[in-house]
Amino acid sequence: MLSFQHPWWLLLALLPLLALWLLRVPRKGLHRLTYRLEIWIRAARELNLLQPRGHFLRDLPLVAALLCFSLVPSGPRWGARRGAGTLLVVLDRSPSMGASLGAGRPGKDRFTRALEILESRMGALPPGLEVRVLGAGGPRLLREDGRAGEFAPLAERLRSWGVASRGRARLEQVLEGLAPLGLPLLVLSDFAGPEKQAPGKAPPCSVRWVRVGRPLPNGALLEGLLLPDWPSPEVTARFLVRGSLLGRSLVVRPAQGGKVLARLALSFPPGRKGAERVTLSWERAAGPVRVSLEPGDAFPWDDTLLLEPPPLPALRVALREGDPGEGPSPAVRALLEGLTAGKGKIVEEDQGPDLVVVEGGRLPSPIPQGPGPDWLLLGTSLEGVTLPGRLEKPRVGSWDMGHPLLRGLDLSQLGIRWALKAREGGAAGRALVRTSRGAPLLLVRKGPPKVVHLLFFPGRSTLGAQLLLPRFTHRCLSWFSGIDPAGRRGRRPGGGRPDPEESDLSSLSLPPPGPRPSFALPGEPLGPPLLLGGLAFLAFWVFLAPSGRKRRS
Amino acid sequence: MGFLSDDPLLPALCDELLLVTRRLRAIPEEGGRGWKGGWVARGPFKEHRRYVPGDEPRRVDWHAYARTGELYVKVFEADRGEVLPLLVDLSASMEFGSPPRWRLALRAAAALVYAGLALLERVDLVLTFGGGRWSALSLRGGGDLREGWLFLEGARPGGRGSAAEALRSLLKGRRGGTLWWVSDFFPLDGRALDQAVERRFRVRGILPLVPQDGNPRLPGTVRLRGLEGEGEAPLRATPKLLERVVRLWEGEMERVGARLAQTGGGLYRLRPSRTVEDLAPSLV
Repeated sequence: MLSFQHPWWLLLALLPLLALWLLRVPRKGLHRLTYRLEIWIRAARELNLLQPRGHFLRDLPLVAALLCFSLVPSGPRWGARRGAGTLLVVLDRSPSMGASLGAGRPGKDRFTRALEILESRMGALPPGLEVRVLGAGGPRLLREDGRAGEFAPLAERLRSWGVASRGRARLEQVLEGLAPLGLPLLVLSDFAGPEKQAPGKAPPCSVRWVRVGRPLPNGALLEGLLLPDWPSPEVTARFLVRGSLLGRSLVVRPAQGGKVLARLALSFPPGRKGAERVTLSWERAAGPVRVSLEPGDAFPWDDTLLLEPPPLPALRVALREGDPGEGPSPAVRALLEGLTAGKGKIVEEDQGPDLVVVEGGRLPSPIPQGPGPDWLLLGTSLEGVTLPGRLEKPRVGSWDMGHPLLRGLDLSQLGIRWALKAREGGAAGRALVRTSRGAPLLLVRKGPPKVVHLLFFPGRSTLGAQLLLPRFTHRCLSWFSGIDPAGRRGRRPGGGRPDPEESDLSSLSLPPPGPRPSFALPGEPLGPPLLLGGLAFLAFWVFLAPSGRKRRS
Repeated sequence: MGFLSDDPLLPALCDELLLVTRRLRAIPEEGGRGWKGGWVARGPFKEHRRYVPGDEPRRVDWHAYARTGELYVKVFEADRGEVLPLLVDLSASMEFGSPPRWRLALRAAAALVYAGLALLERVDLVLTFGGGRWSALSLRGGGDLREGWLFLEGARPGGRGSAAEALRSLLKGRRGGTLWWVSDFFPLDGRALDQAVERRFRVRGILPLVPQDGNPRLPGTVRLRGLEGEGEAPLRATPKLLERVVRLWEGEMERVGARLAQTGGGLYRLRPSRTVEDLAPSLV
């Protein structure tokens, strides 16, 4: 985009055009009508006075040169987008900004939080960007100027403002006064934004509201969520973006930079309001990734997410079937294959780093405390202690629905042929599933290491014949690997999410989509190229086009 | 009222034109038929018609005047064939000049109509606008003079193209005679002229001159446009160019005059200040 530092000097460019119009373009009065045009042409041709068509084009290089020279003083620059390199910040100083943020943040009020937000976001802006902070909401309007790259002293001055003790200088009036400037405007306030003031009316195009103290999703890339598809070789994530984004792409790159891992062009039906969910996948081996929207805009901090796919867990599985001589039941085999993504083998004893299968053998006694592989136990022994007896056809009575292992599972239809008797508590862990008589069926120890002990045998139950098996396998994976089954949300770069109050995935009541505010660096100066171009045009006119002028003279 | 009716000089000009024409017709050296050539009673009597100014006094039936107290002229059978066919070019090119040529042309046509109605039995008037458009009016006797002038006053130039169609309509069913043709004759309408030659008509061209014909003035660099949409040409006007243009145009008019002379007629240049002297020879 072309911008000018001194736009008034553009009036100079009118002079050559005016001269061209006055001197070269025949005016209405210079037209003459004749009935003997043929004779005129014949006579002019005989005397070599006929001006060829487009003769004035020969002087166009001169006009172009003058145009180039006249454009230079206006300071043209190429590459700057709307906004001319100045960011206006309106900081609300109204008394309500002195309210505390509430529990968890003692001693911190909304004004302090607004300054923190502002300071954190200055780092994402071009260092040379001029920042003008206006303090509104008090008895009078305050102003401080600075640059984004040297924000610390400016922040100190802003802190000295403090919160106004009385009065609210009409924030709306200040905004209305600033709107005609067309500059990108960042408003930090606990005040309801224009979308709340006038429902259905789009906010001014270059205004970004940051609500301090209350949730308000305000960015373009609103949320990122890792989907629980571990241990697939690909990471899949779901993103929540504004439905008004057209012509932009969601791009995934390694966090440290590098080639694009995945890209998705965003195109939604026109007029779509609110948010849209899109899904992207990329290689797990890439590690932490940075997800951003391209091309970016003036407020990139909330259009970038960092996602860290969890590493593959070092899971050890110990199996012990109670029936000597029998191999693993299909349900156990399926459970194992699910846990190991088909990489593991069921053998007598595997000392590999990821999997230990002990079948018909002995378990380590006791399972060592502290960091190490986790354990999934199926067998009649726990830490070397043979369980005392068994329960015939126990019925599932209750289970902990809130535990990650059992979240969303319905165990009421699970039929069990027989189960082991065991005690809970201590090293054995807590019972998550109980029979109708209160006997434990599933023991869990939080660890580390994490231990899950099934007191019933999948091969002696209906687990393998129900959809419970893949779901339970998935819950085991999530619990062992530390991935919340609901997924892991991305965080904003630069030390966590800058303002957790601003985003809420569950809240889709977004402000009406409008044009994205944008500004950028002033762009590359066009003065030198224009000078060179003007000289070239002049040389062309002087040296290459004189023949036509001579003919005319 | 129109510019012809409001012209105070036009009646006097017409009377003078008629007078000079009669005088010339009486002079054999000027191409006339002698003093009797102005009028003779030819053939049997056909009818009376009302006398109008300009009628030959010798055609007045004094006996009828004695009986009725009103003036009537005699019309004979032999008078029926004496027609003045008049073709007036009103194409867009006639807008040239100041005053425009079409005004001079219509003024000349008005005088010709006057003289024609006085000297001959009928005037067939055709105004051609080019592009196949024309208007025609047939006038008989002095009583139609006013109608003829009103017809001329309402005409305005416009259009382009040949007058051949109009001429064919004008000369339909006739062979031999004289055709009066008022035009700027640039370029000469060859198709129309061929029509006249084919029917053995003598063509007497009347060219109303405007001051710009012989003295064109252009300001420096100018863009010339043809009045009939011939295009345009940017050029710089120099004295040499103006002189050359006049010379070429004179040459062109010479060629037109020679071409019309081949038909037995000629080209009569009508100067604004000497209308009678220039127009009367064409009527002899």
